[in-house]
Amino acid sequence: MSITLFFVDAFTSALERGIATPDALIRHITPDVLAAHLPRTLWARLLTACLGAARVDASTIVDTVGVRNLCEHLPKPLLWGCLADLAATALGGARPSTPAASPASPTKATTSFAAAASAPETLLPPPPMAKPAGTAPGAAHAESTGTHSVITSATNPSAAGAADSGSIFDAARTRTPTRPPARGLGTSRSLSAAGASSRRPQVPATPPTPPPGPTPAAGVPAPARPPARRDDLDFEVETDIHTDWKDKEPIPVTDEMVDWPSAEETANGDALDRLKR
Amino acid sequence: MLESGLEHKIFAPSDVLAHATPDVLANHLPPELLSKVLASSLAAGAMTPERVLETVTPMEMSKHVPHEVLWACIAAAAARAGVTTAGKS
Repeated sequence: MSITLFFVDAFTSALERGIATPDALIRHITPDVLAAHLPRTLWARLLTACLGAARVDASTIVDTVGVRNLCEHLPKPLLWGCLADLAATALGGARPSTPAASPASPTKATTSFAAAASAPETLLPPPPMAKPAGTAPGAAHAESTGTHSVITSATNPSAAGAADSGSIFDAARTRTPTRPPARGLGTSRSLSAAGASSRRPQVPATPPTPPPGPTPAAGVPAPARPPARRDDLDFEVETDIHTDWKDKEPIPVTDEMVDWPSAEETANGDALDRLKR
Repeated sequence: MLESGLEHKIFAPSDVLAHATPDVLANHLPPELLSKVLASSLAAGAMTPERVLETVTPMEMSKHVPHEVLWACIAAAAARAGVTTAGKS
């Protein structure tokens, strides 16, 4: 077991991926620490580099000394403290249990991979009963409203406890501004929820159209649908014509099929000779 | 002597560091001074001979850096000034 190599890999990877910055490292690896633990040969190299550099900052130190040398010579508890601090900073932005803190600190969201990975997952379901029956994709959302309450209660116990009082809806409403772009991107979940047609997700990308009529009740949508669907059908029929035309084999053209006097533009070459006869 | 030479511009801080090289400083300065030098350079954003000598004062230099090195610095400055050639002729 080589804890040094582990630290080398961890810090190198963190620096490459932007999880750690040289400034963050130097917050732990202070000049005092370097003076106490770095060998004098490395100090000579560091002083030479600093005197020759136009600018001296944390990256100058890290680049000159090197992550491997830092990990070899500095105390391991100190390195671990630095690594733990970096991890806490990176993971801190992904905590869904603190909804007030995550929008207030955008840097955490950008530096945290966990936040980027988990945020769309929790934000995908729509808010329950925010717009009960008036929205067009209501059928698709009707399924997910149930899962939304489950996810919300799982990730935010306080919200689950407040579900009876209705404050969960307030919490859900705060997330709604971030949700429409996620659905607009055409994620697999939104595609599957849209229905059988793969072109359906393109419709919300157009400017929002007013609903075809007053908010219908449970039985009304069947007659209200046809006008809205006619646009979709026109669009798809148009594209189907193109694909059919491309897929069919070319029809062999014979002289009998061509009305030569009416097609003067194509009368050239051999066809022109035949016309003259 | 070192302080006087700097004060009267017989030699400059860069001349001092031409003899008291980073290698010499790293091998002879105590850790506290090395830390101070680096910390002041980080705070200022650059490390210059002037800033090094502000932190490592001539008094500290004379305490920690070998006197042969400091004397070589003074002798070189005297040679540049032309005061060492008079007695040799």
